[in-house]
Amino acid sequence: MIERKHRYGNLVFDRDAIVRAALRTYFEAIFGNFPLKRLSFPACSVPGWTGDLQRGAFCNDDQCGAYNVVGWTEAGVVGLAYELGFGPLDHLDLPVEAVTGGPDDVRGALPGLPAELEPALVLAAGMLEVGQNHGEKLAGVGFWLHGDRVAGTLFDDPIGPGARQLVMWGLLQGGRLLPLSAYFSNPQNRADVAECARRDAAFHAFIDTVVDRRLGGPTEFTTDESATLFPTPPDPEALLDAQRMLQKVGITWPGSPEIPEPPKPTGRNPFLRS
Amino acid sequence: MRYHIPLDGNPSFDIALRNKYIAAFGNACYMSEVGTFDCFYQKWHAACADAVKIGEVSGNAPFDKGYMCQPDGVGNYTLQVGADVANKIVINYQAAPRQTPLTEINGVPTEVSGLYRNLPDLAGVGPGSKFNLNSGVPDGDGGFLNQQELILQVNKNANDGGVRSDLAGFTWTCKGEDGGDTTCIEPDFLPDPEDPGATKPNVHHVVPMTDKRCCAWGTNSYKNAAVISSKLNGYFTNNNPPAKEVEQLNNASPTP
Repeated sequence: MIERKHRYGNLVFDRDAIVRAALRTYFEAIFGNFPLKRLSFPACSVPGWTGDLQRGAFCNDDQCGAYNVVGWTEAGVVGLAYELGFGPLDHLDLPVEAVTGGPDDVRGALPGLPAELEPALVLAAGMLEVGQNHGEKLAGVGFWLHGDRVAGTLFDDPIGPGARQLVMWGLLQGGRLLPLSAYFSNPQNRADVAECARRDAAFHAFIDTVVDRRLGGPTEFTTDESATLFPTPPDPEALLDAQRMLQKVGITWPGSPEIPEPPKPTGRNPFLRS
Repeated sequence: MRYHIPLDGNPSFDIALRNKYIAAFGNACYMSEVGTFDCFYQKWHAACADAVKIGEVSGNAPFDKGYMCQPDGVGNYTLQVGADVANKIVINYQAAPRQTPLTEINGVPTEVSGLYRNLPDLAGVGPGSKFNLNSGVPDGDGGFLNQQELILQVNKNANDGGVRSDLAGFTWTCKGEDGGDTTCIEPDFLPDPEDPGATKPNVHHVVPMTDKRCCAWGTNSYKNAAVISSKLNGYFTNNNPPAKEVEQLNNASPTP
């Protein structure tokens, strides 16, 4: 764990806290967005997950074109963020000829990255989108955390595009990743977000209980917890999606069978239809 | 604060000259919301690289390219542009005015007024803000929808529960499967079951939230929102909005 002063506050980075918060945010996003929405102002609109709690990555997409990713191994964490128009070609001085379509495209956001964190970079970069013209991995700012060392362009260019997304990982509150609007909006809105969190406290506590149990190993909901999640019967397709997403992180339903991944798209490119 | 290069002539009023600068220096140059035309840069070396071309781009005598920018010690740079050491220009580090949010359509500066123009704007709407304010519209579970959720909900309500692209049929040049240029067409409905990733709905700022200089530009007014695929949003990135995009959105019937 390390504490750093930053333009946006006193940031505390802790590997285990970040991994827990990633899992928590993934869970929260499933029930913070339609069609299963149970709470307001989730920290993430579209979540992505790969790997497990030892080695994995989480993508927090805002559904407006911006996103941030954290990737982790036992050695630490790599965080990367993107805002539209501020990828490595525009913002990290990566020449077009140097684009590989791999982690090296965004290495410029992580100066001094220790060799031990290479696997975390690979995991994080694997979640990044790619540029449409040159195929470059899209991120413009980053940080790395290795033991009690933390660095990256998040600190060298503290108010650059995407920095606000990343500082949220150093501003966890009670283990929760907060939505950007909890910090970066007008006072009235911040008050509304805080009030909604207060009102949703029971559901947040429920998420914490399940997440903490999951940290000890794969877990399944109790019957009471299922009833808490779905006070009214959900749409079967939405339920299946939620079950599939939670299965990916080791949270299942009582007696639920293995749920296969949805079939891969096989049709024509929807953008090239005449 | 951004680096300003001193343009020759008066491009604020001389449209032909203005177009020359835009052709040469791209999105660094813009009309501001107060009617001035200037070129501003986030990085000093990019400003210097363009400053040395001002002479030839303007149609005046070309600058001598044998000199490098020099810091003046107070944040600005100077660039010698002729044999006489006194012949130099100043690249000033100064506040950059906001780029005009108006898009020129057939020569007329036009405000973006997209499909959600009938939703009343909230207090606190402003340049550089995400669509994440509390909309004040209940979410049916005791809480409230944020702006983005409301926009998507309004879209679904108008389309029998499906999400329809507000720019359905919009065409642009993209890469085909062979890597060559081809024409992409925005699908009608999002997400498309055959490629749910690329057709994932995004709530797009038509005038981008942040301009090329990393300055606040487009607002989170509902008028400035459009629901489109993530692929098309990635194409628009934070470039100046194309006139045909603004025209299509402004001509569409409002929702609701």
